[in-house]
Amino acid sequence: MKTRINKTICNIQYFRCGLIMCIILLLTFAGCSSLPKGMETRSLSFAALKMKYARDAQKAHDYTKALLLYTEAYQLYTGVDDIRGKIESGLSIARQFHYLDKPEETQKWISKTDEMIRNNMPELKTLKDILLIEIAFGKEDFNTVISIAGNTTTSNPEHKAEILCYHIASLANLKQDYKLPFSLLLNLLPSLEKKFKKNNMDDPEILSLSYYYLGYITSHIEKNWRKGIEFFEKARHIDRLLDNSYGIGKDLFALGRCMEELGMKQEAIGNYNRAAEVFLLLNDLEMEKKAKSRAIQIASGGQKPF
Amino acid sequence: MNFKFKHTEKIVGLFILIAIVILIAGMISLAIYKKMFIEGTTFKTKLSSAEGLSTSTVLTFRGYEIGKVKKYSLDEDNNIDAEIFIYKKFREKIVRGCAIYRQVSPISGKTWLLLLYPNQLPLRISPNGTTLSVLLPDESYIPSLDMYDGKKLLEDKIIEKYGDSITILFEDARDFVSNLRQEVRLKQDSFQDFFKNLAQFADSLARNSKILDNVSLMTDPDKGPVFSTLNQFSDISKKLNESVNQLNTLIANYKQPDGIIPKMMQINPEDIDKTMQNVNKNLETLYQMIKSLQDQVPMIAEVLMNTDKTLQALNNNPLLRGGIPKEFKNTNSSKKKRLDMSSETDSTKNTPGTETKKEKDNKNENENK
Repeated sequence: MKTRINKTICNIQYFRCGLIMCIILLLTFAGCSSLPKGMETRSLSFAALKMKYARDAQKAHDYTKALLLYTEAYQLYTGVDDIRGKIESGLSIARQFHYLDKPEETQKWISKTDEMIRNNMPELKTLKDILLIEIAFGKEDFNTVISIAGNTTTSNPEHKAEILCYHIASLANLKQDYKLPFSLLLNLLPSLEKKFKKNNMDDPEILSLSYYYLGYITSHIEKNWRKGIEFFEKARHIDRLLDNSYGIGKDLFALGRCMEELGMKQEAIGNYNRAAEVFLLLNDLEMEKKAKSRAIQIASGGQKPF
Repeated sequence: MNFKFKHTEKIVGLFILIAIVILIAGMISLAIYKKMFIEGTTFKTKLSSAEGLSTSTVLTFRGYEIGKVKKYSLDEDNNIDAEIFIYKKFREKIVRGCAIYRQVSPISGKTWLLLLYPNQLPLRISPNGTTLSVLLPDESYIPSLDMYDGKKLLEDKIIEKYGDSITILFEDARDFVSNLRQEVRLKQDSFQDFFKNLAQFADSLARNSKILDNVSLMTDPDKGPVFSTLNQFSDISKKLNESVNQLNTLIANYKQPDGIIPKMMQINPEDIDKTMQNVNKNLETLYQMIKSLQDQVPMIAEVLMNTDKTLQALNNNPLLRGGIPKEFKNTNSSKKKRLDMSSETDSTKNTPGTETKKEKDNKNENENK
């Protein structure tokens, strides 16, 4: 009996010791991990802040302000010779010049960053390629888009998805075969969804863009309007989560179009009207007029083809 | 297997005894903590408000707790009569010329009392210049900055405000605003006079304009009587004479030293003096505020830096990191190009820099036209 009691007491003591050890380990782990991950100079912190504000300005379509902030960030990165920062801010500056319709300046900055990429960080070539694709796509130079997209290889799923979006849209517009990139984009979606749910994406807008172009191809090109609605609904859901008004406007317009084709007149009118309101808010008067006139035409029974 | 204790009652009794001992020890330590056994002296003071005041409100001096509020009540003049208990150890700090400063934190709303010690000892407070004994007698009155006598001590620079800088800054700002209000009221009266004079001036001008209109009507070459008929010349000359007379009167009015313009500028010199004094006071306050704010800047910067470090540490902690949302890099753009469903090659036209070649060609054509 006594031996048993002693054994029990002994076990309890062991257990207590183990517990204390665990607590000490946990506290040490927590304490050590609270140490800074690495030294970061003040210039880098400020540059990161400038980049953040510049992105906000860009989101608000204030490209002049964004340009100024990106330039300041570029200078800060130059001060501490942070090549990655210089490349990212340099490309962003080129993008702002493109938005401001200054092709010479755009080209100058692209060349500048291209040199840095080639000499120091070839892995960032994709960023430059995406910018070139964007510019070409904006000019409806689909051949250039296809040629750049075909030569770009990247392991980053977000970059891959973005390039594929422009690629399939360009192929479809030139009436070329888009099946392979289309299926590649479809296969990429689950991993992107997973990253999005974990709030782990660098640019979550890519997911809504992917859904939009899948919907675009399915409905507008393949005339599968019902399937198109599914994709556009998903795109709208993500855009709403991201507060992306421009995307929401486009999604609503596309939904209106699909519903119109399916004979769901009331729903189509509702979507067009909502899209018009969004575009009015964004001061995109052309799109607002387009959406409004579609709604009026459907309501009056006219079926003017697009 | 059954396991029985031999002395259950004794053990239970022992536990109860230990519990009672802990309870008593706790009560004693609480009493000591609350300084219930400390000897001291009571003094009186007057405050303007009891907001945030309680019997646990302490009186501090240079960060030391030297006493606390014993009780307080509303008096006939709607002020607060407060009794302050000063601990024996700090009795000698209650001297002539000291004052109590009630500080209310603008952020937390917490109230605390501060003892303001005079700049020099002994003090010559009596009008005949005799030196009075330094220590204040027991149960005597300590002036507070809420009351006039306390404010007088501050104005005479016998004491100086200290304490929480932000609170002082807010109080100064409040004083500044109230001074400004007074001044505005003062100026309002002056402006009223000014506008009255202006109205008179406007009346005169209107009259003047009437006269000029008459003259112009009369001298009009088309409709005016001068050129229409020479027969009515005598009447016209009479009228003209009248008008000229009126005009003369008006000009004479203008020439007089007690005319309209000086009337307009009639402002009581005392008012001007008062206004200037207030402006001077406000400028002084403003200077103090700016100076105090300037002193605060490095402290604020340091606090921000420390906060930044703390937040970085929290951010790096794996136990908390999950709770901090990741910030999107959003590297590429804000506005991804989305082709319209309305036409096959219609891209985002309103996006700057995305004008299509066709659009540009059309634009150029239009410009050429």
